Amino acid sequence: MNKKATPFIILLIIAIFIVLQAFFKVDETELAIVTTFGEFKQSHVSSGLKLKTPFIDSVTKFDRRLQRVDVPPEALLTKDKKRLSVDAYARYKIINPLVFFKNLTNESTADSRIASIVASKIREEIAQDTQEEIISERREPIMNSITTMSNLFEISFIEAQNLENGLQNSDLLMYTKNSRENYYTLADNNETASIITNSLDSSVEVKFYVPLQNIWGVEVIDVRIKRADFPDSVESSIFERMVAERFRKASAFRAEGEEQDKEVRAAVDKEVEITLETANGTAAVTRGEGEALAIEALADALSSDPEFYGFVRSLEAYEKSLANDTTVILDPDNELFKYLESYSK
Amino acid sequence: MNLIRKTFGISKSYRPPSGGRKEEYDISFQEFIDNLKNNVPFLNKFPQGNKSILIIGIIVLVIIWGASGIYTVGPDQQAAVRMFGKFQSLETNGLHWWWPSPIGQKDVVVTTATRQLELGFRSEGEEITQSVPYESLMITGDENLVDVQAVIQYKISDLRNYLFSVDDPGEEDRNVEPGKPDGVTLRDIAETAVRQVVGKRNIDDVLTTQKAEVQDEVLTKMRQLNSDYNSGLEIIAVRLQNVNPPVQVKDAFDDVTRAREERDRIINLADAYKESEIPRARGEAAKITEAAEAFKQGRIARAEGEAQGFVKLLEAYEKSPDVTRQRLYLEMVERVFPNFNKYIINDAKILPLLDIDSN
Repeated sequence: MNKKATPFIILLIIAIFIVLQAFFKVDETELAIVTTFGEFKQSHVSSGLKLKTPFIDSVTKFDRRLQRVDVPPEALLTKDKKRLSVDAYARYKIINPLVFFKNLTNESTADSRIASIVASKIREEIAQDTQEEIISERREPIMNSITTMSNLFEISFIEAQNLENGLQNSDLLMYTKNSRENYYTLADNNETASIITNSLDSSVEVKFYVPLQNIWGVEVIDVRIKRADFPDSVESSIFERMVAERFRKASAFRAEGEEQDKEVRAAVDKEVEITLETANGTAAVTRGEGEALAIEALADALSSDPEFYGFVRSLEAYEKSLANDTTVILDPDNELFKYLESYSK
Repeated sequence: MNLIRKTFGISKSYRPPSGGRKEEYDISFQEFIDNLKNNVPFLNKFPQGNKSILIIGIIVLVIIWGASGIYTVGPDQQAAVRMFGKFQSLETNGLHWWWPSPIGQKDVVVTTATRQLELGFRSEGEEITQSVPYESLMITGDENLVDVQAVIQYKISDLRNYLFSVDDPGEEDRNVEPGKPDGVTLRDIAETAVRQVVGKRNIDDVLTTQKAEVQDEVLTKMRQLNSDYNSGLEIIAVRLQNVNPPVQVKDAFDDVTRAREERDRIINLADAYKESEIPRARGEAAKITEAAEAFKQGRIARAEGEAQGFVKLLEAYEKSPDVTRQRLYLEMVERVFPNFNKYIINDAKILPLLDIDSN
C-alpha cells in the first residue's frame, strides 16, 4: 500500500464520522428535540433527515404516534354507593416535545403520570354517577367528560395568579361550585369577572385549571371505560339473582300454561254443556209438540164413540200387558165360561 | 471541512429523484466517482492497479447495495416507502426500486385481505379452541351477565396511518407486530363498543330479538372510535358468533326455555281439546234434537194411523155392534190365554189354600 494512501484513509474515516454526527434521522413515527449541553436548541415535529452540530448537540426522540395508557381496573364507589370495577384506557399524543421532555422526561414516566391523572378523573366522575348511568344510560357522555377533564391540570390560586397576565391568562379555566350544586361547572362570564376582581361570594368554591398540553406537552385524545363490571366478589351473588329471576320466569310460564289450559278447557266444557242441554230442551219441546199433535189427531176420531174406544183399547192393553205364564184364577161364573157348562141361552 | 462538504455534499447530485430507476442511479454514481477524483486530487496519484482495484471494489459494493433495493409488490399488497424516516409514497403492485438501508426503508403489506379479530374466544381453523370469559362475559343494562363471542372483520384502508399513526404492543398469537393498530388498539375498540352496546340492553333482548341491532350498533360504534384514532383500519363487519347466558346459570336459562315450550304444548293440547270437544257436542246435540224430531213425527204419524184405524173399526162395529164386540173379546182371549196358567175355581172358600206363587 502506498504511504500516501494512509492519511487519506484516516481523513476519509474522520469525514464519515463527522457526517454521521452532523445528520440524524427523524422517523415518521418520531419527534425529536436537539439540546446543546443540556440546553434546549430546537424541536423537530416533522420527519426526515436533520442537521445538528456534530459532537456538541444531542438528540432525544419521542414517539409521535397515538399512545395507549392502561388504567388498571379499580373498584370504585358510585353515587348510589355501589361498587363497580372500572377498567379503562386512555390515548394520548405528544404535542409539544420540549414541554414533554422538560416535565416528563420520557414515555414511561408519561404513561404512569397520565394513568394516574386519568384514574383520578375517573374516580371523580364515577362518584357523581349512579351505577345504572355508568353501565348503560350515560356511558358516552361520562367518558367524554372524563376525556375533557383529563386534559385539564389543576393549579392553585397562587399558581394561577403567577401565570402570564395572572387570572386573565387566556388558557386559564375556572370552575365554580356554590353550596347548592354538587359539581363544579365552568364559570360563566359574570363569575369569571368577579373572581378576577376578587368580589366573588365566599361560599362559592373555585378551581383553576390550565390545559394539560401547557404543563406536560401532551393531549389526551380519548378516555374509554372498557369495562364497568361488578367486582369479582359479587359475581356469585349476581349469578344467584339471575337464577332466581329465571326461576321466576319459568314458574310464570308454567303457571301461564296451566291457566290457559284450565281456561280453555272450562270454556269448552261450558260450551259442550250448553250445546247438549239446549239440544235436550229443544228435544223436549219437540216431543211435547209431537204428543200434542198426536192427541189432537186421535181426539177427533175417538170422541165419536168413547165407550167403544175404551173397549178396543182395553183389549189391546190386556194383550200387551198380560205376559206368558201369568197365573189367572177364574170364576166359573165368568162370562167367558158361559158356554162351558151349557150352550143354552 | 470544505473538502468533505464538496465530496459528500454532492449527495444532492448523487441522489436521483425518488423512485429513480437503476440507470439514473448508475449515472449518479459515476458522477460521484468523478467528483471524488476532482475534489480529492491525490486519488489520481494512486498507482493504476491499486486504484482500479479500489474503484472496482467500491463499484461492486455499491451495485450489490443498490440491487438490494429492488423489491416487488404483489397485487394484494401495497408498499410504503420512507427516506431518512420520512414517508415518501405508496406503491402498488409491480417491480420497484427504493433506496436500501440506511437511506430508505420500505414496508410491503398485504392490504386487500380481510382480516379478523376474535372477541371472547380463539379459534384454529373452523374450530373454537378456547373461550376467553374475561373478554366475553359482560354486564347488561338490567345488571345481568351475558357471554358474547364476536368476530370483527377489518382490513387496512390507509397503509400510511396503519404503519405510522398508532403505537401498539401488538398481539403475538395473531401475528400482529408491535406498532400495528390491529393489535391491542383494535381489541380495545371492539371490547369498548360491544360492552357499551350490550350495556344498554336487557339480557333477554340481547339473547333473542335484538342480536341484529346489537351487531349494527357495535359496528357503528367501532367505526366511530376507530376514526378518532386514525388507525388506517376499516371495520368491515361485526358478527356475533355466540350469545349465551354464562355457563354458571345456563341450566336456569334452559329451564325457562323448557317452561316456555311446556306452556306452548299445554296450550296446544287445550286447543286440541277445544277443537275436538265442541264439534262432538254439536253432533251429540244434533242427535238429540233429531231423535226428538223423529219421535214427534212418529207420534203424529202413529196417532193419525190409529185414528184412521179406529174410525174404520168403528164403521164396521156400528153395522153389528154386539157380535163385533164379542168377537173382538174372544179373539183377544184366544191370543192371550194359551200361555196362562189357569185355575178355575168355583168355591171362593178354598182360595186361601192355593199357593198361587208355587210356580
